[in-house]
Order: sequence, then structure tokens, then C-alpha cells
Amino acid sequence: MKYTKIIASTILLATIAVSANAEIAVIVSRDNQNAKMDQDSIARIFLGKSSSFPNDADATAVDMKKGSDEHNEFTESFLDKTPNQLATYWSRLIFTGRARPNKEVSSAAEMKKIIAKNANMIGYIDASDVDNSVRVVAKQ
Amino acid sequence: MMKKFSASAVMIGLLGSASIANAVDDDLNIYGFLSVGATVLDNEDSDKESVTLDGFNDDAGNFKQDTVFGLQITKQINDKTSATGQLVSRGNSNYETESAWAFVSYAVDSDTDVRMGRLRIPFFYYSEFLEVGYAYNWVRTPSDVYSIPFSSFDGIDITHRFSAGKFDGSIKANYGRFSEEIDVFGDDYNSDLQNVLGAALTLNRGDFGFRLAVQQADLNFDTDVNADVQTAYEGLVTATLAGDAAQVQTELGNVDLAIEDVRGLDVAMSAVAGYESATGITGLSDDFNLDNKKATFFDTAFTYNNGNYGLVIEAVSIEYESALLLDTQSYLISGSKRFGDVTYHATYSTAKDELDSGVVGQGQDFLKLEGEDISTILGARYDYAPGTAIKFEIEHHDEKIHYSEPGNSAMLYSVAVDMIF
Repeated sequence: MKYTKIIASTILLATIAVSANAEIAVIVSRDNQNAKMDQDSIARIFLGKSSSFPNDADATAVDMKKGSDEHNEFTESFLDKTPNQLATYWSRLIFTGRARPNKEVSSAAEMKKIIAKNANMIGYIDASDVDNSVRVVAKQ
Repeated sequence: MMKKFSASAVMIGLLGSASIANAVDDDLNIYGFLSVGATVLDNEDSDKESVTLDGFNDDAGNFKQDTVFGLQITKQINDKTSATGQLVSRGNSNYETESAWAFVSYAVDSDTDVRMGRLRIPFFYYSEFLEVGYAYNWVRTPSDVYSIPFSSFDGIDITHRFSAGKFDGSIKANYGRFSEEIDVFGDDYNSDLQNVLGAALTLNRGDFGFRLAVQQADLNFDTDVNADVQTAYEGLVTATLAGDAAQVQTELGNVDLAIEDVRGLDVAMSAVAGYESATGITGLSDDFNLDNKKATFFDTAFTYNNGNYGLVIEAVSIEYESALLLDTQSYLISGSKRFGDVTYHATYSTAKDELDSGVVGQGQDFLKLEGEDISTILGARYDYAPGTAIKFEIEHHDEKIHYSEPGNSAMLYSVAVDMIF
């Protein structure tokens, strides 16, 4: 009886883990001239190493709230870091006055709204939240 | 009454929306870091003098030395200009609050920043975030290599970032001055470090990093010659030269009495004066004093981190024009492996002094200035919550040569919690 319970919850946990692994879409405003972007140029903007799009237009990264599924997914798949490694990375930049952390929003709706209005911003949402207010430049 | 109430409600509403606007506009930012730790030092030979390791010098538990609290405020003034202040309070300096950083930064272009104010001297790989324990795996940076007793200066630095193909890099140049009390081997000295001038180059490619740094400064320390100590050393040298073994023992006792409560560098300068008056040799004081004497620092670091495995190799060479401070070579090798939220690491570090040649070297030997240390650190870091890490560490520290004699060795056990917020 106990074993069945453990097996059942293991399967349940595995399912949750798989479903949490949702696809992330990196989005820009429809006014932004960059059609597609590779992972490296996206990562450079989000890690504060670059402040321009591939076409040299100014770029400002917008993050989802730390701890959110989207933030964790994006960090793992686009930045190749764990959220903890990302926090350590930023602590080195912030406390040496070299860079300030990215702007943060707390929902997909908020993200789409701010990205749609600003041609120089780049953000990300769960791929299932994409609508035609924004344009997708990368997905994984 | 009712009107007043609603007015303040509106005020609160306005303030509320203002702070939300700030959060989005990144106008004013407050960040902080906090480290707390507990340590036990266990000397292997209880008959010998205790090792002094990062300020730990007795076998009683220590809960203060590793405590550091820092608060940083950054204000964006306009597109190109920002102001940053960082206040740090350390347990090892009795929680006196000090400005580690206080500068105005101006962006000349998107890749070049000029900063003026109180800045960090970019000595080491970890120099700029020395106190932010969260930013590295150790409880504290290895003392054999990270041995310079000051870290800030007042002046200007300019940083230029560049990328070439797969390489990202930056070059920084700094110039300024530091005049404050400095703790050298446990005693405070008024000091004035002039013409603090240097440069640091960093190159990164993928998981690999390389750093090269050079610094120089003209050192001025207010050392005093103590008449009693000078007389005692004069007696000791005279007895030694006369080959009078019994008198040497007496004079050694006099020296021990005289040097009590006298600062280390003052004892050394008084001993040099005593040596001069006993032998008639002159000019030695000019070699040993710290009046406008140049110090030169070189640092090379290589880093690798693929997210699971990490490696840091850092080598440092310091040359002093003054004979009072011995030239030192030091290096560290540190490897780490991450398993999920836990990172294990192992570090070997060593520092070795070099005596000058000739009469000056004999003087250094007579003053018993030489040291050689070897340390091994094993530790684990557990990232148990976002922005919070718990660290466990065991360090074996061997003072192979301590003031020119075989020294003690000890184990240092540490637990620390590091946070950023």
C-alpha cells in the first residue's frame, strides 16, 4: 500500500517536472527591426554584457520575477545557468557598481504590455502566452 | 478631519505609484549583503605561539571575525551619470562602518565608464567583491594570496569594455591616493599611499577567463624609533659581536622587556637604529624605512567554469623597495564541482618571502622578518534558498617559517551564512 503511494507520487512529480519544462518565447515589440536572434546575442543582453540588438539599436532586457517558472526556464535554457548561478553572477556586477539588474515584471500580461510599447526592450514569456501584440525572435 | 485623511490616502497612493515607477525605471536602487560565521581554531602544538590566520589567533570559538554587513545605494542621475555608495561594517574591525565604495560614474560611451571617488584597487581577481561572500565559494578569500591589509583608494578609474570575435574583455586603469590607518600584523599605522597607479586586463572566452593586473604605490608609514628598544638592540648586537654568550642571553631578556607594547614595525626600525649605533654602519635606516618607498604588485589569474566544474589559478608577486617589507611570491589553485545546489571545493595556497641579498638581507634575517605559509582548504557551499548560501569549511594552515623560525600549524573550522538582498 505504502509502496503504491510512493510510486504514484513519484509519477506525479515526474509529470509536474515535465510540464514545468515549458517552451519559452523571447519577444520584442512589433516595431523592433530584428527578425530573429540567436541564443548568444540574447544571453549577452540579459547578462548585461551588451546593450544593443544585433542591428546596433539600443537594447534593454526585461526579466520575469525571480522564482517564477518563466524566469527559471529562461535562465536554464537561454543563459545556461541555474538560477543560483545567475544570482551569484549578478552579485558580482551589482556590488562592484558595474551593472544594475534587469527590470522585472511579474506576469506575462505585464511583460507583453511593456514590450509592445518599447521598441528597445526585449523580454520573454511562456510560448503559450504569445499573442500578436508582440513578435517572437527565438523559442526553445 | 475627513479631508485630511483622504489627502494622506492620496499621498500614500502617489508614493506607492512613485515607488512602482522606480522599480520599473531603475531610478534608485538599494542592495545589501550580509555574512555571519562561526569558527574554531585548533593549534596543533599548544606549547607554541598560536598561528594568526585571518585575525583568528586563539582556540576559543569566534563568532565575530567573519561578520560583514554591507548596504549599497545606486542612483541613476541621468542617462550617462550614476552615483553609488556602499557602506560596509565588519566584525573584524569592531563594526566600524566604512565607505568601501562612494563614486560618481559617467558613461563616456556605451563601452567606456569613468568613475571618481572612493573605489577599490583592482589588485586581485576577487578584489572588487572581496566582502560579498555570496559571490564566491569560500567563507573568505585565501589569506596566503589575499594578504594586502587595505583594499580601497580615493581617485579615478576608467574602464573600457571590448569584444573581438568570441572574446569579451575589459581594460581598466586607475590613479589615486589612500591615506588612512592601516593594520599591519595587528598594529595600526598612519599611512599615506601616494601615486596608486595601475591597470587590469580581463579576457573571457566561453567558460575560460584570464586576468592580468599591475599596481604600484609610494608607501609612507609613520614608524617611530623607540629609544629603549634601540638601546636594548644595541646591547644585543654589541654582546653578539663580542661573542659573550652570557651577555647575549641577558640582552635578549632586555629586548623582550623593551619591545612589549611597541608596534611591530617600530620594533624593527628601532632594532635597525640599534644595529647601526652598535656597529657604526650607517645608511641602513634609509633602506629599511617606509618614507616614500615604492611597492609593485603583479597578479595573473586563470579561471574556468562550465557550470559544473570550476578552476581558479591565481599567482601574485609583490616587490617592496623598503627592506622592512619582504618581497613575496604567492599563488592559489582551487577546483570545484557542483552537484545540484551543493558545490564542493578544494584549494591549495602558499606564500613565500624572499630575503634581499647582501648586508640588507643579513639585516632582514637579524630582524627575523621571513615567513612562509602553506594552506589547504576543503569546503562545501549549499545554495539553500535564492540569494542565500550556507558554507562549511576546514582549513589547514601551516606556518612553515614564522618570523624566521619554524612556526605552528592549525586547523580552522568555519561555518558561514552569506546572503544578498
